[in-house]
Amino acid sequence: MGSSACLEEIFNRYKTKLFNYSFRLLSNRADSEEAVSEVFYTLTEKKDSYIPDSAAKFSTWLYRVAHNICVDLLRKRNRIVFPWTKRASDDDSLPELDPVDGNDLPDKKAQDSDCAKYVAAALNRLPQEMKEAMILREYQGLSYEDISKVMDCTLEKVKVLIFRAREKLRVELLPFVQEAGNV
Amino acid sequence: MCNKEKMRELISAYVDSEATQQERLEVESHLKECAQCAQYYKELKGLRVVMGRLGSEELSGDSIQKIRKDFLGGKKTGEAIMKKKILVSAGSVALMMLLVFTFAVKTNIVQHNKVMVPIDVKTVNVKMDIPVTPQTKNKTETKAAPVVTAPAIDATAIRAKGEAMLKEAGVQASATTNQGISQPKGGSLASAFINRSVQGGLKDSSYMISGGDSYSKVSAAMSVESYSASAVGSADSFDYAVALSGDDVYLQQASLDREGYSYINETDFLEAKENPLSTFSIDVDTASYSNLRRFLIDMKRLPPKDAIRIEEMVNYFTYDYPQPKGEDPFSVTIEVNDCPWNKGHKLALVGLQGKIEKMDNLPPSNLVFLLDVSGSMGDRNKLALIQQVFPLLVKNLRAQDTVSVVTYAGDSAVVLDSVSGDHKETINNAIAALRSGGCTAGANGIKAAYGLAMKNFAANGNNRVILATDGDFNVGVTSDGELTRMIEEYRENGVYLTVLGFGAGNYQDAKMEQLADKGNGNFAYIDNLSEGKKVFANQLTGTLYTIAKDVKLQIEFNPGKVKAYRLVGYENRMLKKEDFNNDKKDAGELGAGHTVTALYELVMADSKEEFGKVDALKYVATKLSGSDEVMTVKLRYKPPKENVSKLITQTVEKISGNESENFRFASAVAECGMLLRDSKFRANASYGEVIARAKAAKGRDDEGYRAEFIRMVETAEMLSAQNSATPSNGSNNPPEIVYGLD
Repeated sequence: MGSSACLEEIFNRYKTKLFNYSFRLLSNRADSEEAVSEVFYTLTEKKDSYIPDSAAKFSTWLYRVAHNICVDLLRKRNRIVFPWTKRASDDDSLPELDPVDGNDLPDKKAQDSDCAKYVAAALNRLPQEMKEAMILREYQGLSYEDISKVMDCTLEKVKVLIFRAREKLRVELLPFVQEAGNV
Repeated sequence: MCNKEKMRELISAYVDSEATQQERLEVESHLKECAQCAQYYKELKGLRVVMGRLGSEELSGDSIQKIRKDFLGGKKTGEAIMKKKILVSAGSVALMMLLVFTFAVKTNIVQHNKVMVPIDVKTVNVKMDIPVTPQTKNKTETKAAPVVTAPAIDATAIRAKGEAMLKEAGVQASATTNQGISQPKGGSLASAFINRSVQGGLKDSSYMISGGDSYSKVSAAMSVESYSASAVGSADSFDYAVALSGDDVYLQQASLDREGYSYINETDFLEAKENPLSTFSIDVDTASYSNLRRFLIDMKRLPPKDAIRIEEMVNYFTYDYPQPKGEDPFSVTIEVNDCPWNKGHKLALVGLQGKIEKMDNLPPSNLVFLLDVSGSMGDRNKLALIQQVFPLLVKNLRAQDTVSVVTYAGDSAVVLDSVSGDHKETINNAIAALRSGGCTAGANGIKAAYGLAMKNFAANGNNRVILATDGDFNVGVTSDGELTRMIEEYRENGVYLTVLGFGAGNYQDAKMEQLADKGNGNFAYIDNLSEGKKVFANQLTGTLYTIAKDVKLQIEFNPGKVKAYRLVGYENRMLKKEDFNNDKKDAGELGAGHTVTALYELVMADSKEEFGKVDALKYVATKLSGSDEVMTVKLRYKPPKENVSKLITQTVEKISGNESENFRFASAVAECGMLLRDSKFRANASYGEVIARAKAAKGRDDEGYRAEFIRMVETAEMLSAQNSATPSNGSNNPPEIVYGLD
């Protein structure tokens, strides 16, 4: 298998995953596209630093690369906030869901897309680390072990981050959660 | 009431199937009792559903096109980003300059800049330009490093970088052109580059995972040499691994990106006059062969060269050697005939046949099954296969045998403690109930298992830990040194270790072989049910019962008859000549009924071939005894409970003449191994020859193993023909990816 076919395969396989990972983390399309682009650029540049004999899965390595890029972007964004360049996140604007207001939920179909908005907003309100652990777990399907490698922390910490994130999300999204859990 | 917080945390892990076996049981029993937690569990499942409503976002078609073009074209976006970075950094540098200039400390900056010369990982490529001495060549040649669409690098830039690196590495380089580097220096230069590239690979990239222990573990198991070799070849192995790392699509090929193989440096011809003695330890392992079968039959692709250990391929088969007579627990068969792949050479076969013991005659067994149930074992053909295979062993147990079961995944748990072999159902049920989850702390498991084995020690019996794992010990303090020390200690106490490798994709071959080796045990790779039958049913006594330990061979060649010799395979089993008589030196074990075969390729004294021209010694007169013997084979072994070795000696007087079936088949297997390794000694070896000879020497082949071998060679022949038809940048690359959608 030639190397270009191989790169093509990697690109096809990971582009959407990486985009979703960055997008959930950065909440901004343009930044996320740039992040994905940079991940692939890094891949061609730094491929030698991936050593297949080491215990790291290739996908974990790739997420690790993406993690570093996104964290960099976030850091930059937090540090340099010029009023005239401030980029609003795409879905910052939703209000918190009123937990007691559960009975006023809209009808089923509208509800699903509505619910998605609340989930996105609730995710965005999580502290960065919790959010990332949760994204890697729920949307990227990584094991705790792989998450610990991507985020460079202990397994125990991953466990706690995910648990705390769930606690917050569960409370914030309680009406939806109870409804879905009781089906 | 429960410790709510703690329990909720467990439930969260439980929802993710990340709880250990013990935690899982705890959670399950708690959920039955506590309504509040049961509700919480429901809600977490509900949360998962709710979160799932937030669907996947797609990249816009435009940006896909853009990224794709840039990425596959190899440049632009990257350059753009780099430019941006350079601009930013240039900007800040300029600002700094300005600032610093005001304080007039110019010189510092100049120095600072010098130190900042970036050493790029890409400079690995430089090594290709440098003449390499034969010794270092060995290390690099197996992986001709092709460059995976790396942008072409300007030659002068490379040289400049190279020189900068050399200066850094403290090597003097007067060279202005590559040819200008003198031969002897070439070696050190090249190795400087190799070392550098390893460091480069680890340090240079800020994106390299610095994930602490677990990442360096595999490499720790290997020598520095093998590590360098793999790093140099990483450009090659890179697309190789990546192409197959099936993470989201289920690939028929398992992901190879986590499989670890030690680099094998093929043994060269040695001149008999200079080195008349050849010493090695026997090896009854067969894992390499089953692994090879997985590659060829299941994945339809050629295996990596370092996954092939020729001795394990040859020893996979049982040969028709005579049963031992007299006191020794094994017989020795020697045959010398023409070497099939190099007509000018001879091939010597040394075969050992262990005494066949019936299960009834064996002393009681105290077995501890140490089963890996970590998350990585959840894949198909791992835990499920364990659950199919172990009952085959249980079936053959007797009332006087005992079984304990220890599992490990994060924590180790004792599932059964010393249950009699009579209670087959209890044992089988316990095994069937195992579920996978959590991470692997192999060291704890091994400790617990040895603890049980010692507790239930059968004084006159067979005490053995049977470890079933994919070998991916990745949590906790698993320094390999510590682990092997522990295993060696228990070995002295009489507890042996059998290691069974399961599964694909994450299979740590090097580590497992090493463990079994240290634990006076054997190592088999079980890739399917029929292989399980071979290990646990047909050859059970051999797997379980050692009849001789520390079996070493030493062969003395008569330089009057043999000019040079080469041991085929056994690269990691070589011993020093003085180790042969040293009873403290550990060596391989022979199980009941096992056969061990070793092959030597010989160049006879009348050959015109020249080997290593060393001047005749001035002060030591070497006078040949004038004997007509070809060689003397000496064997040392210890009965399992003794610490003093016994010696067996046998001389070979002449070429044997008629080729036996054993000789023809064993040589065919070895020849196949040499082809797969792309050995430099392959001479006229060909798959066609191998197939023809193996077919002719198939014998009775009751179990069909030899027929299977022939099918494998046919597959290998086809694959290698495909490989050479498509000009590719490295050998052993997969021809193409085949997706399996079942």
